[in-house]
Amino acid sequence: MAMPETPSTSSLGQKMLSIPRGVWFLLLIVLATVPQFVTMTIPNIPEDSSAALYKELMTLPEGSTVIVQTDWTKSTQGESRGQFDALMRILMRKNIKFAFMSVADPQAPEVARNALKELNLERVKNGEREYKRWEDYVSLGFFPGAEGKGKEIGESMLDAFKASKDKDQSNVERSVLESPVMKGIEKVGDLSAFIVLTGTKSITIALERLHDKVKMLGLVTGVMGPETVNYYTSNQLKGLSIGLKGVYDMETMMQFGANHADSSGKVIYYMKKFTDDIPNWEGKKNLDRGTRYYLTLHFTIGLMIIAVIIGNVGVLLTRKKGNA
Amino acid sequence: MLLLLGVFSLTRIHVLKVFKQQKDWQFSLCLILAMVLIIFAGYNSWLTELAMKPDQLEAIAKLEPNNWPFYKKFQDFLFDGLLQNMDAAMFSVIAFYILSAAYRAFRIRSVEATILLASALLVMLSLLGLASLYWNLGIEKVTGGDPASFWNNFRLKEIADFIGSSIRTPGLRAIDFGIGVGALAMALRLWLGLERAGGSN
Repeated sequence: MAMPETPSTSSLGQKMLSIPRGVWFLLLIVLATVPQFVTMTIPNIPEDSSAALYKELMTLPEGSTVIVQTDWTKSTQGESRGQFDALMRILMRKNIKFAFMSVADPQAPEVARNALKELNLERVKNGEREYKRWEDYVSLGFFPGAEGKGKEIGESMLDAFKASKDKDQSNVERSVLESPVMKGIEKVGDLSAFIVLTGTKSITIALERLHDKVKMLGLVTGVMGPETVNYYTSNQLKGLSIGLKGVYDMETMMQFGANHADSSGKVIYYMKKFTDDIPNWEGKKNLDRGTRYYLTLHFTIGLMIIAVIIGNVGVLLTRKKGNA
Repeated sequence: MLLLLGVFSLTRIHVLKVFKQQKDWQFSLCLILAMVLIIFAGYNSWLTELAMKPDQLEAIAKLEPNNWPFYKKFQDFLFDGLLQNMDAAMFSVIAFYILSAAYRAFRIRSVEATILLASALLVMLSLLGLASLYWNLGIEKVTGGDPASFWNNFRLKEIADFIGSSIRTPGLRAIDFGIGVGALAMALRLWLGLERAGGSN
């Protein structure tokens, strides 16, 4: 038997406040996944800190050695993997040797090695030289005491890594200090840069101990951005990429350069921070994860802003009705 | 040494829990099994590769994942297939909590909350290239393209930079400085024996 229809008594405000959680979650799932199938270059104004990082990386001397402290795992891969890929592409294209180490998570070295394998496959597929373990890069290992290791690195690279071993070309484990990567590196100042890629406070621990001994560069997650930017504004960090926006900044600068005119004479990115012409990587794969996820960031942040507005307008309307 | 201590402590606590069948002992059993499995997979892979000749290793490195030997597939399944993906899944759940909190809890209840909300919205918008583009187009209409116009200060990036460098950064520095001074004071109290709470007396 059909029930007689009762007129709805809930006001617009109450309706706005009673949107089921499932609806929001469904919207989030749809808005976070669908845009990932669309790759488009969205207009962008790179952050000064990202531009400084790009400039510093592009001006590293070819063939020099850097340390990459990679402290990210799959938990922050949305931001960190894009940063890692962009960083590695630049280092590899400039033939810069690197040694990577981790202090924040035991999973991190394996995650970095796997990502590196994929990047190497991409290079080989594109007809570029394969980056070889031992010759071009070494893994220094995982060190649980970030503070102590940072202090050791600051005092002597030879002492800090005398126990670290990696496999050479003939699969024999040898001291990393014998590798071509670490040749001639006795103190941290012999490195052309110390780069920290992290989603943790490990960057501040490294900065406190090394900022006055070597050029330091950082790539951090959005969560770590606000507190790390302090060190960029105080010039202890020479360049900093923050979160997904930072990845997109890096990728688009790799695509268009900074203060750099393309073949038609058009400059896409004018930088306020410097006037140097920093070139792009023409004909290479530059746009990747950052570009794919940036549209998703638009939709998800948009959804969050809408949720905040609906919640607040709902409360306002309900209060008004209550007062009337 | 620290790692061994950690493994020993974890094993002792959870093995006892399983034997005594304390509350949620099933989770402890899962933890022990997972730990044993992943330690076994890691050492098995390491020792197998250590015993191989360089040409064998090179041949394996060139194989597609489908043709990997069992030891490599097993380790990959545990590390990349399970551990890493569960890690990613756990963190992605945060997005749902944040959205739910944005809808239910982020309310304009006071002047302070309104300032916080407005700042957050502006900073979030500044992260979006499309939002910046249209906002700045609006500003350009007002300025008529004059780079010396006062209104250029209201470009989204300028506002976000102002919030970041003039409000957020000094605030964070003050907090960090306060934490540093507090930690130093506490350290001094401990060294001088003035802080007895939590001690062994």
